[in-house]
Amino acid sequence: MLSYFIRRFLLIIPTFIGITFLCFTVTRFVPGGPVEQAVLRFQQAAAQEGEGGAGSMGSLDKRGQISEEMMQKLKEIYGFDKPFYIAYARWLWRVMHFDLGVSDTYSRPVWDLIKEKFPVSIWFGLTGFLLSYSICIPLGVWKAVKHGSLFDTLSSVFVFIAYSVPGWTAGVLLLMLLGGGSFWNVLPLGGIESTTITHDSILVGYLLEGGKVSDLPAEIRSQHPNLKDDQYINSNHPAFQHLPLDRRARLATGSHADLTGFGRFLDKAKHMILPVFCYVLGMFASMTVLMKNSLMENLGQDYVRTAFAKGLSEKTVIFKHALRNSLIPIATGLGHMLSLILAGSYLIEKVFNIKGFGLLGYESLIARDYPVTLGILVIGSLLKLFGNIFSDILYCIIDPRIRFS
Amino acid sequence: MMITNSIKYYFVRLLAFLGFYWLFNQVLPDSGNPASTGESMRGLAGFILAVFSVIYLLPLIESGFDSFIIFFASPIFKRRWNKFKSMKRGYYSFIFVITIFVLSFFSEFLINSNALFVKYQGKIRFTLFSFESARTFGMKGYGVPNYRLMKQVYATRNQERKDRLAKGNATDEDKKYQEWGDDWVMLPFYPYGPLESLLDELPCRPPHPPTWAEKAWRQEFFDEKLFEFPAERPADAEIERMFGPEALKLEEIKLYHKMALAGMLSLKPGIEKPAAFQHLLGTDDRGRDVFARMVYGFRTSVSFALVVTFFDYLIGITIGALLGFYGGRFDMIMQRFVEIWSAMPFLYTVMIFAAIMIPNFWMLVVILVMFKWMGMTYYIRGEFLREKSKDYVAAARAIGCTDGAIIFRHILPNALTPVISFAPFAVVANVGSLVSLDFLGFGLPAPTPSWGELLGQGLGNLHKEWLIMSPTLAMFLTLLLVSFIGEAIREAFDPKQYSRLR
Repeated sequence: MLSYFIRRFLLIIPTFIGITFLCFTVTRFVPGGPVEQAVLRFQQAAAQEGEGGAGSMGSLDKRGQISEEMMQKLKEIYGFDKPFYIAYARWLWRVMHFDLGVSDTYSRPVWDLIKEKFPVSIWFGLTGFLLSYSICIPLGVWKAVKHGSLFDTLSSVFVFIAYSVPGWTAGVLLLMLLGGGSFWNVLPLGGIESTTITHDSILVGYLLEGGKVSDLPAEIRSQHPNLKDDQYINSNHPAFQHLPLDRRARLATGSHADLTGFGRFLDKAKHMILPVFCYVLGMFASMTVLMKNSLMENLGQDYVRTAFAKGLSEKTVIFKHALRNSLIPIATGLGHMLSLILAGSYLIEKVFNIKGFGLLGYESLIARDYPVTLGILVIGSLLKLFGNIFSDILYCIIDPRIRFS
Repeated sequence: MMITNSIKYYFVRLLAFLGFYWLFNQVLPDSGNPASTGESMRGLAGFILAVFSVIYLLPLIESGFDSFIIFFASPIFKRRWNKFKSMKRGYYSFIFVITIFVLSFFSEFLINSNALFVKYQGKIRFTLFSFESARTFGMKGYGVPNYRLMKQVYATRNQERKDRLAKGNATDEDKKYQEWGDDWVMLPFYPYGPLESLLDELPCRPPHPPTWAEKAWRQEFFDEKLFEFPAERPADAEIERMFGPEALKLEEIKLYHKMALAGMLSLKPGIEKPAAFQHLLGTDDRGRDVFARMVYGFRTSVSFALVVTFFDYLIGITIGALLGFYGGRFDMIMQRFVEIWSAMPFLYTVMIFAAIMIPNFWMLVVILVMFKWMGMTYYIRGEFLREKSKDYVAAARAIGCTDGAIIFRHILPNALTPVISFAPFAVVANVGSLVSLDFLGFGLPAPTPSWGELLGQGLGNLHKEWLIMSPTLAMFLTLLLVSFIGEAIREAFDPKQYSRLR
């Protein structure tokens, strides 16, 4: 048993190398990479200078072609001067030392970029995941218990509908309906918190007290040179206590930072309704059906027959005997959910403009920012690999009958 | 007899070779980089690959095909099929989807900007698939003629000709036309194509609302200042009669807005509102007809999903069969490989490949198949492990069947149940993948009509409902019908009998 898991862990290494090598090679051999883009930028800059009448840049020859040594230098900067396998080996070596490189577009370490996206993705992913489990499991159980009833048929309609509409598509539709298209304007268009709260927002009642910066006493004012005179500060600001009492008032407009604790919670919740709904919708159909079928299968087993024969009540049989066993396939799904929770969803994050892990990956692909793309691939595939093993471990823990070898 | 057989044999191989050659030339990237001047390796590589495919792949496909024939001809299949037919919802969805899909291959005849036939100076030409120059038909310019316009022009010319003949000042050409007969253009039923931009023909900026949506069009006209405002504000009594006393306080422009939406103002001269059923679903942000794009998008999506499913299964079944049949070390090593391959983060890897390669239809098929074939191997392997220990396999071995014959002719027909029952759901998943990729901008190249691209436009134009509603509804209906089919097929082919005590 232990040896099985050790083997599984060892298998991560070739898998990881396989995945990254494949994608690394692709980024190498296809035109339009960072070097070409840099050359293009140079040529554009040169063309503009030429129009301006100034002399040509030293790195370009007369025809606007980039010089050999310049090209060499560019290749060196982006690591394209070595054959791809050596470049890959170097990249892998750095990754093994937890160095994912530096982003081309942000000029910041890739790991920092990824790290700061995690909380958002986890927040959305985890909420969606918990919610869908707490909806799908009871529903699946109920459907199995009432198999063939009107309730079962009606809820099957919903399952079919949910199966036929991918979560993110429903997201676009709901944004149109509720996000201020031509219909109702009740929910925000996207993002994770409001940038502006004006008088027509329902959150306006939860704004903090505040005051104008120009009303601050002069000596306090000079301690905060970054503030502008026509700016307002809220009561969380250290300078607020020095404001004269008659100058304090509840703010009329503001942003997320100007809200009270409960107001912030409401604001976040408002931004989460649609994305989380989409997460739930994405898992709803398969999860409910899985739960139902699993329980149905168990209800037909001999041990259930025995339990009934002993004279136990239906409630006890279903919830104490059958349900525990039928939760096994659902529980093992937890491991696979790991990557979904942490890595978020590219599509949902794109639709709702949630600046998380997935959107970062998408944007890095658009910008051909290969260090970030590969960094996301590394994290994403590691999550998936460990998630799979985690799944197997869970399987063993929950179901002692299972023996891997 | 021998000779005709061998002729047939070689003929099939030649055909297959040409097919493969075409396919590989579709798939292989055209040397891509415009900067490289070297000869494209496409033709040669395609040739070599096609030769290999005919030698190695074709027998495989043929025997796989045979096993499907055996499977479909078996009495078990007939029984299951009858059961499937008895499930009305699934069966009618099946008939409906198949009909629509087959019909969609004739959509060029129904929905197209090209004319079907043109009669010009006595000669009738079939113009649907040809790119005739406008000059061929006596119009100005070098490009493809706008056939809708041409139809109108011909009508007026015919009328003028008649007038001249009646007056007696006919030219020589007019006299010839008496012999030729009138010119005419036969347009398809819905004369707008999925790729043509209608910016020149429609007032206002795209995206245009559906033409039957009066109010939305009035709003557009108002936004573009195309309404003729009355010279002076209507009398108060008039306003009160029209909109009630509230309207009296309104500013002039708001009052006119109200009047415009109520249809009381006329458009500026030269501006014409399109006919009510001209563009059923409006146009997209480049002024292309949405309805035409939806129909062609349906064909693309479903064909794509079917092709991907086919190749997924081809590879998945073959590898799964070999794994299950041979077992042992080969099985173990390959299983590890399949495991490694399935551990790829699917969507992101496909996104990386598609973003970097900018694929065409077939290239995208290859990319998706590359990362999706693993699913079927597990099921087929399982089926083979179970089947290979049965007596009929031993019997086949005893009479001297080769491994290939045992795998494809004996076991595979008995192992096809999961293939059939998962296929509709695979199609649903593949349509979903294509729409997602198109939505992200990593799908089929730009002008290809696609639902995902339209949804992407919709996300940028949340006020333009038709851009969101049309693809969402189309996708919803298609996937719903296909999953009805899938449910019925699974019920018929892979029934799970739940025995219950209470």
